Amino acid sequence: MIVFVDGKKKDISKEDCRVCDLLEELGVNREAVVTVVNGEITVEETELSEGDEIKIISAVSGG
Amino acid sequence: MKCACGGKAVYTRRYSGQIFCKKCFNNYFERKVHDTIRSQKMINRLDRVGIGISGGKDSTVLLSVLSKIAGKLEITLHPILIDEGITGYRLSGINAAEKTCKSLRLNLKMASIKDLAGSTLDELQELGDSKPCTYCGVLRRKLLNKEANEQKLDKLATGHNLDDEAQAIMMNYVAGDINRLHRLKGTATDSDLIKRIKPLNRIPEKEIMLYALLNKLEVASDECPYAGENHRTKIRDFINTLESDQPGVKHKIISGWEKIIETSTPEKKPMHKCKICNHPSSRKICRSCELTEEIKIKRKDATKEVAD
Ligand code: SF4
Ligand SMILES: [Zn+2]
Ligand SMILES: [Zn+2]
Repeated sequence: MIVFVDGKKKDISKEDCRVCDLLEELGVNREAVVTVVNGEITVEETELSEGDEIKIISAVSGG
Repeated sequence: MKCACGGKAVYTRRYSGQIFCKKCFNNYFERKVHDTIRSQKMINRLDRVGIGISGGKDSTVLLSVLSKIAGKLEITLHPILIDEGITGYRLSGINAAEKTCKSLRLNLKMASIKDLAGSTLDELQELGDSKPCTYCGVLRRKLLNKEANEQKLDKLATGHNLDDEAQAIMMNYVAGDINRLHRLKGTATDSDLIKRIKPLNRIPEKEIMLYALLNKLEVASDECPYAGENHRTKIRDFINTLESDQPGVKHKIISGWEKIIETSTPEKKPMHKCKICNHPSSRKICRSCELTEEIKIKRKDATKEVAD
């Protein structure tokens, strides 16, 4: 299945993939981000579908 | 997945197992801030509450939630923005803060490090021997105290969240710094002229970001160029790893710390008045004046070198 993460194409081998599985695969800690799927803020348990556009917004600040 | 009310889910709070839609999340969030203020006895009726804002997500969320409950609490709000003088970073924060204050009909007061120390933070870190964050932290604190004094404020609120608190606790454990562990409680230290309060200190950073996004708040997201990787960011990542394995760890760090400070006493340092600015300080010359004086000398040396 092909999805787009922050505009970049990503091929996911798994059939059923939730947002949290994708984050894990990318090495992103779910506690440190908010995810937007196809323009809407969603829970990380959401199942992804072919062609979904995912935006990962960092929730942590450095300063 | 759906919220208990049937609405579309936007957030799973893993440490309690609850699922929220936007409306229920906003309700929970605003009530949580109100409860935190009440249970930690942060504010009294008729208080003039200053709010240190930066245009970033934490202080913007704090300001908008406080403005919603200010009527109920019978308080007035007085936002203050400190301009450190950091090129490429501060401007977006000022713009965001001005927009937020305008939409809430609040008067934004600005004060700058340049007015206090004669140089912007960019110049200070070029001239001086200390790290930029040292100048920034010490001088910002001084300016906020000064503003609070001039505006006769009763409390000074800052946007510190649960993650900030948990990180500070862990860092002070590592250093074994009992005094700082006590100071985190936010009661006025003798060298502050005003009681500081942190109404977001029981809300995780992720929830604050979510609130800002869901409510489309005007937030600047530029990173300070001096932030970089440091001890704190490592502690932050470590705590987030613990939290994702075991939701609720951040709250446990807080409750453990509360028990520890109950059973220990901070060291009482004798207080002086700073010989230069007359503000209370545990030193003869306060840290802010010490840094400003050091810079004055460096500045003189630098002009001399140019003249030679
Ligand atoms: S990271 Fe930037 S804003 Fe934060 S304390 Fe350091 S210099 Fe100041
Ligand atoms: Zn709901
Ligand atoms: Zn002084």
